[in-house]
Amino acid sequence: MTGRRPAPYRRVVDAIRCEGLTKRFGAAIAVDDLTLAVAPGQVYGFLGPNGAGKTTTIRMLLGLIAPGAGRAWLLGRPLPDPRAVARVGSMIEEPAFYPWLSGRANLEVQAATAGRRPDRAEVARVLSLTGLEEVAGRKVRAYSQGMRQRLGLAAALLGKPPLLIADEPTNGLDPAGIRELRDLLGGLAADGTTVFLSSHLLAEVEQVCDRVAVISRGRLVEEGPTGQLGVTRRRVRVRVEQPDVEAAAVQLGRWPGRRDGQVFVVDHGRGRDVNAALAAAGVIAESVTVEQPSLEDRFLELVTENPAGARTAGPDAAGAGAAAAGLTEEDSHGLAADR
Amino acid sequence: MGWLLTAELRKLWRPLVWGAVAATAAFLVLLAWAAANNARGGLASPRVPDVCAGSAAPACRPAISRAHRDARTAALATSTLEQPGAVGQVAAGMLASLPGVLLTALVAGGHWGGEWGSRTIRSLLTREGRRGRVLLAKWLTVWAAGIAALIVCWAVLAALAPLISASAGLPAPGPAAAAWHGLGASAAAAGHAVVVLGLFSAVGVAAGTVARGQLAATAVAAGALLVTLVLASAGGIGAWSPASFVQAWMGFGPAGSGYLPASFWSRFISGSAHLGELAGLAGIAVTVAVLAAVARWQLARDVTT
Repeated sequence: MTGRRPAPYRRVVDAIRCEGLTKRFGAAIAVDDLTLAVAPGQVYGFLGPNGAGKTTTIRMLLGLIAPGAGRAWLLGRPLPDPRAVARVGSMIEEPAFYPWLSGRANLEVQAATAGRRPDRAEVARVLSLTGLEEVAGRKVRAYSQGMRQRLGLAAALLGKPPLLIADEPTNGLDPAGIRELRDLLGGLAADGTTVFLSSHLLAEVEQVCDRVAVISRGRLVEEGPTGQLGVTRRRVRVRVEQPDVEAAAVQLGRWPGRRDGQVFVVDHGRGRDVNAALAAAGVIAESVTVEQPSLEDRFLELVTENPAGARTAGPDAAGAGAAAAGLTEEDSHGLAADR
Repeated sequence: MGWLLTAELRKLWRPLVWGAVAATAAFLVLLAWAAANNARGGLASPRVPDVCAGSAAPACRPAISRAHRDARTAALATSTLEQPGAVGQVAAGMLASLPGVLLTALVAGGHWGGEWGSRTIRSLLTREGRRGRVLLAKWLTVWAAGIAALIVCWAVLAALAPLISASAGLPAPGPAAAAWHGLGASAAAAGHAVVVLGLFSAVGVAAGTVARGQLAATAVAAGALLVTLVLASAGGIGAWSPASFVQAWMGFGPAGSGYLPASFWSRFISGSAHLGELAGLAGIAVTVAVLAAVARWQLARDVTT
């Protein structure tokens, strides 16, 4: 008898998990059946055009708005749970402060509101992280928008939260500030902090985030590793002569895509395969170009061409198979209709 | 809860609150000054019946003598009330009546309604999501501001009212009415006023929760209390108005013989509800409980600002 008990099984829980989260405001649906999961330590981008439902989703996660349907968990605890929310660092849209107090006093008030003794060393740490030490004693009413944004980030970082939820944190920041923020988020991620970043600056998201979700009109339209949505999601643009259009359409119909006159855009990563298919039918293309759309291109495609919100997902996303099949089928039909 | 209260008290240290307290104190000083001047005017030209004005007829002598005696009594009463100990009754009565209504409406509007207007409500409720606690902290701190205003007003009046009275040439109170005469009555009135300030604060916090904006909260709080004052004069239901509870608890009644009013409340209520002091206290407690329930229910609404 060893007398030793096995180490307790430690379950890895998602930092954020939503299942069928839905919110209506009267007849308008702001968030529709949103399901996503953010693993611990991830930097997760949350993208969508204005009015897509990003802020409403964040407000539901932070307990400011009650969901109409669905469930959500923060740091493994089912919501609503004020204690779980209090452990999260958050920054919603333009941060607001008490203008008659200094930046430092605002941070101390926020720490005390969360039930913590206002620790001067901790306040100094977040002021230093956000580059506000020199103006910390100034009244917030004298702060510029960029300084307020930095102060909002400082407030969100108080107490070293395991999860940071930031809604458009780059608003009002100059290019140097945006770069500093990017470095700061990278540093947080390296320290194991999960970051949920809602932003419209796609280049920033592309550089910082491990994984991205795109919502449009309240519905999740794509979710997956950042590379799958952007840079590595290649497509082939083929131009053929008029007499070859019909034969090319038949050959290229095996892949999703679209056609514009004599130009076909095929959602497939290898130009060699496309070329071979055309050659097999005796079609000589005028040009075959492999394109690498940026995240921005993909984002615009998703929110303009797929407004109804057909959901797709990256290969390792929850429920990826069925969702990906949905996109393939829809786009294939689109190509066929063009023929 | 302790740190939350600390944070809320720190937020109260703001120009709006200083201004409201200073304005209330200044108003009471002006009131003391006006009362002293009226008393001096009364001494200089007592109110003699018209038929006896300028007359030396023997029949008029008693009336003239009575007018002089009344003027002196009123001046003495004013002077006595303007001593440091007794003037606390004025501070308490005023803070438990319309000046207190305006003060707490302003403070509650800025301290609670303003959280929505400035959108700081988002960070407040994400850092402390237990909304009942937030409401309690807001109520206690608005109440604390009212109590602080009461202390400041009493202190300012205690310092200035005797000087005002003396500079107006009012007769000095006798040795029995020395500086600390009336301190007991003032302390009792202040204790009662603290309870009423709790009611006013509850109205302000409930108004802030419903109106969700600084100006709107101030208007709703002040408006609601004025409506209760109007309702207090209504026959039958008047006794159930919170204004009647305040009147009964504070013991507001007809004005005294001096020129310095002890409150701005009962003069707006016609008729009397004949409630006892304890009935008034019970009514205030029930009203606060109802307001707390309404505020908690309203605070459960989505925060979309």
